[in-house]
Amino acid sequence: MSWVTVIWSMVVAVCLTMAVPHLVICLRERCNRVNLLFALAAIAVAGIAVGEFAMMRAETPAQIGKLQQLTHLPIFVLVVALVGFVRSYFGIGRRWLGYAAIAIRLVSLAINFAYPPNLNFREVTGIRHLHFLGETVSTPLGVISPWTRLGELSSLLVLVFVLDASVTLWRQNKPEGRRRALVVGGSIVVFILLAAGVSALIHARVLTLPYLISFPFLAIGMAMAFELGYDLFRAAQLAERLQVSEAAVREREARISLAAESANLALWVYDPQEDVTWLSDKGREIFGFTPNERLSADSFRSRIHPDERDLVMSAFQGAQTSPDGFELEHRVVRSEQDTRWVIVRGRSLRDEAGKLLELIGVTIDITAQKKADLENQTHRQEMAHLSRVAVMGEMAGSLAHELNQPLLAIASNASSARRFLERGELERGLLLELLQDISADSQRAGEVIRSVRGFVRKGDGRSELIDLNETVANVARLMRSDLLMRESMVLTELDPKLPMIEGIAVHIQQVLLNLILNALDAMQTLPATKRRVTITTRTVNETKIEVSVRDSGTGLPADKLEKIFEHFYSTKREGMGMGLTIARSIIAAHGGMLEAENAEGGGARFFFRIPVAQEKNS
Amino acid sequence: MVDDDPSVLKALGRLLNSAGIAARTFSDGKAFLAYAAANAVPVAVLDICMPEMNGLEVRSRLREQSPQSRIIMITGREDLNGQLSEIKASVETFFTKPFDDTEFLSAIQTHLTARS
Repeated sequence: MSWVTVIWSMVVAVCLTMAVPHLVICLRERCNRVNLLFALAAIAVAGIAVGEFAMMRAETPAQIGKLQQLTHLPIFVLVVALVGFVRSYFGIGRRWLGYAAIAIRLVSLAINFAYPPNLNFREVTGIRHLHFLGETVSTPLGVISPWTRLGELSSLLVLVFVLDASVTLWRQNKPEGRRRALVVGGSIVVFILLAAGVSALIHARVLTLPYLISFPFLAIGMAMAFELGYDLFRAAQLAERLQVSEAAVREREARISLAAESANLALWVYDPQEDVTWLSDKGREIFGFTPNERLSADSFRSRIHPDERDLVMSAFQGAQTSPDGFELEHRVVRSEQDTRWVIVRGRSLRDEAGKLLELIGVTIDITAQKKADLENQTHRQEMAHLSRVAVMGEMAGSLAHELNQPLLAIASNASSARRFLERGELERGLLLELLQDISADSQRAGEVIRSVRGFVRKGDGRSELIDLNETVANVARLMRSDLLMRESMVLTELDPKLPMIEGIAVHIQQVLLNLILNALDAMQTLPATKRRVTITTRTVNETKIEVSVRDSGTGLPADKLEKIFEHFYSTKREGMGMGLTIARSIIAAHGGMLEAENAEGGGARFFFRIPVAQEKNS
Repeated sequence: MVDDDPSVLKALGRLLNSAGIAARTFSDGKAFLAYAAANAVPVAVLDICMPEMNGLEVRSRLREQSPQSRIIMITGREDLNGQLSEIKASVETFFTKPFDDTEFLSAIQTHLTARS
């Protein structure tokens, strides 16, 4: 085998080897123009090498002319690929220069085929046999065509284009850009000069050599391949770094999930466009979904307790149109026997333009807490009930009095009627009056019993709107005879514009009774004229009202101000010490706080503030 | 008769009338004492639990004012504790509401007869 065959076939092989990976990249990934143009350039150089090799082996002038003509095809492709590559890879370059180079090369190609034998020769007259690398190779002999200058002009334009682009890139003063300008730009310039120069010298018959265009272009290709390879290396590095950070992200995600799970917290993301939900494992457990079930809005809908279904769905709808988040409590029905309580918090996620992307949020299982709350509530209500019964016991005398009055009136009226009748003095008008009074007093007795029963009954603890002024008046009425007995006075200072509160009326009554009874007890040692209890209601601000019960006694020992609220702490001989503790827990259940202080001017003052009812009071 | 509860006062007044006893009713102690200062009061029925001036106070004033008046105390409270026995001991007659009308009337009759 000859050296020529070995060298040229190696050039072809190297070019194709360089082209293949970039073609593969181009095919497998989204087609990157740089890789495609490089592969094209490498294939074109291989084509040129094949042309050169065939010309060296040509036997007739017609044959060699034809082969040279065909070789202009890969040359054209090479020019296009080079200009495109530089433009794409550098991201700069004067377009018009590039287009001009390509256009002139295209015109040259047209002339090449229009005027045989080819662009460089007007006529191939013969073959010159040269000794090259130890063997005889053919080169064309003939009349050089003037159009050959057009091809050289095109090469010159490519040269200028690349030089200009490289200089611009170099001036941008970025290390990577500078390297590209130097390696790619520099090699293109040098080797085009070399290739064009050698060809020109061959045409001028200064050099007697076969065409060696493919060698400089092979060098250009290698420079380009080096740069692209460097890019591939960098991409691999980047991918590795991404992988590392992806692992970190995954680890952080796992940590968040763990934290969320230990807090009984389920994370979810809802995509309204696709109507699909991602729900963490904990969430699937809460809702009773299987791990791989696809979850739509309907999947959730079916698990929400019917009583809260509309509420929850409209909150989700609302969050899609408004930037505000939502928070609500609802029940999840997993099966007939298995209901859970959850709190769900959510909000929308939007892009920069404000377009809705998805809803994100957390769901917290609060079943255990709910159960405990319920137990506490029951416990509190039972304690409150016991305490009410105790209060009633304390007031038994007063209540008996309230009942005895109408009973006496009834009995007396009835026996008057009998006596008048016996004496034959019962007129119709008097009888009617007596009967009316009897029925009125029965009513009155009935009311006393009803109010006692209402007070002592174990209520279902349902909240209602309460006018505290009315409650204060009721309590004062209930205690009327106690006050008389104790020769004490109750003064009320009621705010006429007091807003309503929401609560359990009988509980508030109980607290007031407790406080008033305490106040009366505290004043036992005072002379009768000084025993005064003042009950005040006032509006603190738009959200709170205050009720206070103040006595005119000696006040509380300063160090006992808090102690009096403790269980079993009592200053009274018969006291259980439960009253104030329960009163405080009742007020706390109404969202307020019962406190005690020594009032200015003497006496103890117990007061509580509770929130005004949410609905607008009419 | 002095009681701050209007319906009790009215009913007891009627009861006395039905037994043929003339009765004058007062809803508070002051008005009664003013009357008693100018008029003879053979028998006074006084309620204990009353605002401003209670029955016991009215009783002691009446005793000073007209020692010959017989006094009957009535009350709706059964829990006067220590006070009750003391009161019971110091007054001629004591009734706890609601009381038997015949006993009440006969007590009044007795006082009226004793006085005359």
